[in-house]
Parts: sequence; C-alpha cells; structure tokens
Amino acid sequence: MRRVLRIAAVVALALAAGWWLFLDTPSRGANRPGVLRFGFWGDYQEFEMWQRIVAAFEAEHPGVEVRMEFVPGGEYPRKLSAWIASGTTPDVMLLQDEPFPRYMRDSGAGAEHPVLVDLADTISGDRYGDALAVAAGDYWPTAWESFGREEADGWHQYGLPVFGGNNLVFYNRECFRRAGVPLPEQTRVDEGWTVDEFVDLARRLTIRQAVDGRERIVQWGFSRPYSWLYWLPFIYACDAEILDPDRTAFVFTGPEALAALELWSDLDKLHRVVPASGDLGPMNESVAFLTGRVAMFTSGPWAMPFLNDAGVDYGVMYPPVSPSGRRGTRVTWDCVAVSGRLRDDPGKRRLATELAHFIASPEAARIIADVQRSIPANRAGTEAFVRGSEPRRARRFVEGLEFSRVQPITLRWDDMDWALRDGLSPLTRGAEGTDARAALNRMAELMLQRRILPVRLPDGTLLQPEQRP
Amino acid sequence: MSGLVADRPRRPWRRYVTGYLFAAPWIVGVLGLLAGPLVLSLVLSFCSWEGAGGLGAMQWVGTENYRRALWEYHEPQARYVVEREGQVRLRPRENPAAPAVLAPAGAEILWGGDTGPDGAYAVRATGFPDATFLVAPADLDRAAKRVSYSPPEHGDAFAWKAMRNSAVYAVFSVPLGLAAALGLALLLNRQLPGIGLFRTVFYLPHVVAGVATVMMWSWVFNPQLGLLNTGLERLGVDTQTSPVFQWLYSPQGAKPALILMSLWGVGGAMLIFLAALQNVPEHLYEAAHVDGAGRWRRFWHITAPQISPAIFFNLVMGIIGALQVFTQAFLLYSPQQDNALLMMVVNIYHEAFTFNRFGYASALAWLLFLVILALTLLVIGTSRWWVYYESDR
Repeated sequence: MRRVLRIAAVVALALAAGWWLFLDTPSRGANRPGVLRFGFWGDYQEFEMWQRIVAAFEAEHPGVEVRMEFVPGGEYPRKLSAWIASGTTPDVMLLQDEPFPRYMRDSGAGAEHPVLVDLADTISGDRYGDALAVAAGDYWPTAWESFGREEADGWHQYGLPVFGGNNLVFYNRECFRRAGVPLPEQTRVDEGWTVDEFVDLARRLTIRQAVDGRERIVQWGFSRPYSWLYWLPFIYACDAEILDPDRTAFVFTGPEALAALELWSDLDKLHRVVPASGDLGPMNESVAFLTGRVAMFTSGPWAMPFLNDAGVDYGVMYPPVSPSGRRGTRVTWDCVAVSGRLRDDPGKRRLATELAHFIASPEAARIIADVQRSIPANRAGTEAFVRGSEPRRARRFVEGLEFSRVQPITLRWDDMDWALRDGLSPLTRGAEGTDARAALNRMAELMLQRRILPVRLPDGTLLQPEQRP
Repeated sequence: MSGLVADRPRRPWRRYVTGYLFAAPWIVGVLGLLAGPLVLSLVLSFCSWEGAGGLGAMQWVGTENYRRALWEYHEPQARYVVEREGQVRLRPRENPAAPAVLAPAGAEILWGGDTGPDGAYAVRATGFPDATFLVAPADLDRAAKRVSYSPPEHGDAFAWKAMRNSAVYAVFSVPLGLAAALGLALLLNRQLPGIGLFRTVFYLPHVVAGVATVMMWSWVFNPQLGLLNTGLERLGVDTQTSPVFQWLYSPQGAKPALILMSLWGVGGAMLIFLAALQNVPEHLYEAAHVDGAGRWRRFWHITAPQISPAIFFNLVMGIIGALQVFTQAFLLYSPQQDNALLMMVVNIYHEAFTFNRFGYASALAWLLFLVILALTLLVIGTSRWWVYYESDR
C-alpha cells in the first residue's frame, strides 16, 4: 500500500508540474492584475526598440509589468492565428494592416468572442477622459484609416497606428560610379521621370563582362521584386489598379494592367537589365544590392538599418510617373490593438488601452524614429525620423507619403496575394508560351475560380466568382 | 515457509493500478496532446472555422470540405476575341428569337461552361455589361480567336497538385533512398580499418538539423554558383540552357532537386540495414559459397530474404516520411517553381495558417491520413509474399 501511495504521489506531482508548465500558461499572464502581455514581431533592432518603449511605459506606470512576447517576423501571422484560435491572444498586440479587415469583421457588433476591443470611445475621451484621448489628425491619414471602419452606428477604431513605410527605389551610388552614370541627386533624374526613362537608366547601369570566355552580367541595373506588392509603384506608373475604389472587385484586367505586366516581363526578356530566375541564387535583394550585383531595387525604410549597418553608400528615388501624370506607391502600416478577451474585464482593459496609447504616442514615436526602420505613424516622430542618418534619404520617405496609397487590401487578402503570385509566376520564370496576357487571364481566372473577388472587365462587365455568364 | 503459512491473498486490481499509475503521464499526454486534437480535427473537417470567435464559431458544413477538395465541379472557362466584325451573332439569352446583335471586332466573348438548349454557348460579351447571350460555337471558331481556356476541373486544383507532387516525390525518393541506404550499408558492413569512422560520417547528415541541411543544399543547387552545376559544366554539360539545371528555380528542376536532396538523409535507414546485415548468420554464406553461389546469388537468396524485415520497415517509414515531407519543401519554395514543391503537408499548412481555413485544412489532413493508411495497409498486405521472418518457418 505504501508503495502505491508513493507512486501515486510521484505521478500526481508530475501531472501538477505538467499543468503548471503548460496548461495554465496563457491565463497566468492574463489574469494577474498589473501584468500585461504584449505580442510583437521584428528583428533584433526592433526588439531593442520595443524594450526601450516598454521600459518607458513601465517607468511611467509603477507597479505595472509588461511581459514581452516576441515572435520572429515571418512566424508572427501563424502564431497570431494560433493565439486567436485558442482564445489566448496577448492583451496588447502589434498587428499588420493586411489581415486587419478580417479582425475588424470578427470584432464588430454582435461578435460573441471579439478578436479586438473597439478603441473609438477611448479615442474620443468618452470612456477614460482626456487622459486617453488621441486625435485622428495626429497620425498620417492613410495610417489612421487602415485600422478603423464605418459601421452602422458610426466610426469604430480597432487599432492605433504605430509605424509603417512606403516603397521607393533604392540606388547604390557605387554602382552608378562603376557604370559611369551621373548620380541621381546631381541629375534629379526622378523628377517626373517616365517608365521609359527608368528602363533607360537601368540599361545604362547594367554592366556586361567576359568571364571564362562567356559574356556575363556582373552588375544588373535593377532587381525585379520578389512580390507583386513591391511592383505596385510600377503598376501605378502604368495607370493600372488592382482593385476598384471600394475594394470589392478585381480590376487588374485592362490595357494598363497588360502594360504593367509587359514591363515586368520586358525588363528580363527584352532589356536584360534584371537578374532572371536563379541568377542571384539564394542571395536576397538587399544583399545583392549591398554587394553591388544590382544597382537599384524597390523597398521601404525597413531596408535602411541593414544597409546603414553594412556601410552601403546609397540613396533613394521616387518611382516613375504614369502617362496620366500620376505617381503612386504602396504604403503599409502596423498598429497596436487590445485583445477582445478583455472586453468584460474593465480593469485590465484600461491598463491595456493605456499601453496601446503609449505605444502610439509621440514619446514612443521618437524612440521608433531613432531606429529609422519605419516612419512613425504619429506625426510627432517625423522630425526625429528625418534627423537620422543622411536626412535627405529619410525625408524622401516622409515626403513620398503624399503620393503613397494604402495597399489594395480585401477581406480575402491572403487568397488574393496567392492568386497574384501564382499568376505572375510563369511570367517571372519566362515559361514557354506565357506572356503578359496569359498571366493577366490566369489572375482573373483564379479570382473567379477560388471565389476570391468578382472581376470587372475594362468595359464594366462584372464577372461573379463561379457564376455562369 | 510455503505450505505452512498461507500467502496473504493479494488483490489483483492493485497490480493494474500500479501499472496504470506508472503509465499515467503517458496516458494523460496521449489523451490531451494527441487524441484530443485528433478528435477535434476530425470534427473540424466537417466544419467551417476561421479561428476567430472560439470553438463556438464553428459551423457544421457536412462533407463540403471533402467535396471541395476532391470532386467539386468547376465549369470550363474560355475567352475569345472577335477578329472579324459582323460574323459573331449574339442572341439575347432571355429571348433567343429576338434579333441578334453582331459583335464588333475586338470584343471579348466570355464563356463560363454553360450551354443553351441548341448547344450554343451562353456567354457574356464586353461592350454589353448587363446582358447574357447565346452564340453558336461555329461562329466563334470562324471569326474569333480563343485567347484563354481553362478545362473543366474536379476538386481543388491546389489540393490535387499537392497530391500529385507528393506522389511523384514519394515514387522516386522512396526507392532511391532504399537503394542508396542498402548500398551504403553493404559497403559499410565490411571489416576494414577505420570502418567505424566511415559509419559515423555517413550517419552524421541524418542528425544534422533539417533547416541547416536545406540552407546548404540551396547553395549546392544554385544554378550560377552552385557546386553541382559547376561540376556538371566541368563534365561538359551545358547547364545554362535546360530548365532542369535551374534546379530550385524552375518547375522542371525543383522536384528532382528535392529528391536528390532526400538522399542526404539516408543515414537512418542505412543504420537499420547495417544492423540487419550484421544479424545474417555467417554460416549461410559459407554454405552457399561451398555450393558455388556467386555474389549476386548470395545476395538475392540469402541477404535479401534475411534483411527483408528491415526493408519492409524502411519502406513503410519511407512512404510515410515522403508523403509527410514539409521542412525542405517549405523552405525551398521559390516563386519560379510554379508550385512544383507544393506538397500535401505544405498545402495543409497554408490552408490553416495562411488562409485561416482550419476546417478545410483538417479535411485535407484526414485525406492525407487516409492515403498513408491505404498505402501502409497495401505494403503490409503484400509483405507476406516477400518478407521473411525466422519465426515463420
């Protein structure tokens, strides 16, 4: 009997230890008063930035402890899905704009288990007074609009914008010197330049040399982006659009869209100014750029810390202007939001809201600006952002916000992204029998077949997914 | 003392309780971490659920997820551009007797697979956004050019593609892996000086982390700078013209690259073969040698039957492993591959964690389970004809 009791005690201890270690983890962080869980992603520079922001918040709020739940960048969306599915989202979390419409849909009126808490009444000061009141005007308009929506009972704000960035054209000065091309800051080549002028510059920057008796390109003029998202500045430069203004139909179907895809294809097949599949191997664009294998590529301010650390001599240009005289590029923002789990926990919700407001405040914006990885969404951080390394370069991103547009985001963002990548893929690898028209058709067909979005043809004909004509 | 003092009657349940208590942590683990999610995923496979709103937000959809994956019918789609003005007659679908409209040159005719009573295609045409027409296929053949066509499809094209990719990968990688592992085991079964070092070296890749292996191989397969193409070029192979030699950057080369890469990890199977080879009784070889049997006959009539349980085990594990390949395919994805490395598990992962279709992903996971189960049962069923056990004699 004694032996049985001993074994039972050991097993019970093991089970209790297991319970303590695994099953109670989310609630332990969530239930203790004065402790907030904060979920975020990023690289090591961002991690240090968040440490500074959290330390500043804790200094202002004695007795409050913020548990930082860091997830490496690429894994964050998956982790977030798991958090949401298991009902264990952190009290405060950093979120991207792409999936945000889905979170808003799942948090709106009538949602039994909302993903996010509506922050509108805290912004107006209705709930917590002026202490937690912010004004939409403090933020860049595209940032503010990305995280709220108009519902039957008025405007709802589910996230407070924190930082973001727009895509511009980076150029490596060393590559310009090597090719004997005057530097853009001297010629101001990007002031109102056209796509043709851009292609001409890329051609002049491409250097061919004989290596082992075979002509090889040792410096490419431009690196065609990995994703269609980074191609958006050129899609806009062809006067094409991905979605209609109310984002309910796919309109990348007309002659302008065809021109944008032909440009994509021609840069490789016709002009030979971009590396083709495998030419750079596993080297990513930033590395190819810093090593001088490509002279220009499109990216956002998030590429700057890496290039600055590597000591690259580079500048930033605006994308080309379209035939109709319009210049556009993509801007993407991230926000901070409060977990819907706290809807019925006023004390913890207030604390979480305070943290969210602090992260979106001018004080945090200045810390964000120091890293110079992204533009602070709060305009109070703009000057600090521009004061960083080579102010002219950073200022271009801020000034570029004037013509930057929120990405073509829909409820079915991931499916749309997948379909566009899939449609573009044969064109990227130069598959036999594939041209820009076929790629365009493929994209439209995927939108319909996968029931992602209706497709609007140039003459206004609207094709519904899986609906027979 | 036995026989003089009766043993205290033992209660039989005590033995069971002790056993169960010992097994309790394992039982709790299996129920909580394996059986629970297993049952939940089975239920989920009949539901639609995007993750938000807790489990209460799951909506029962019956076999819809399975239908969507396997047999949902998609009509063919075609797009024509009218080349000869006035020769494509568009009859209003609502009133076919009404005067036909003549499609202008350049108009696009869109057919979604639907046909009218007389075999005419039910179409839409650019320039007439609100109308549906009937058009004779002969008119289109004569005066319009077909610029795109999607054949009719059953099921989810991506799910089928993933199944085909996994099948091709398994068909090539499993036999190749078995042959390579057996070949290495035969070589390493010799008593040579330093053979232990060789065994360690060949086994080592099996214990190297998958991600590190993938990163290394992605450089080996680099079309411009990689070891493989450099070596092939030295041998006179023109690696720059054929898409196969673009390896991970072309649909033609991606799967062969992955299959070649899978050989890197044959150390595990090799070790099992080696253990089996060392258990083959030496006297059988001696007897065969005395009878004049050559190397091949000794292998075929002694080695192969003796190690057939190891072949059987490695075959089953190989099939399961090949159909569940994930890390390599996931990490080596490149947009130039045209989804050549979209394997079943990769597709399940994307459906669940990229598109948040947890119900549909669960259905795909159960389909994968059924495929693996069927193949495993098939191998087990055939094993009586080719697997030799000493105890069966």
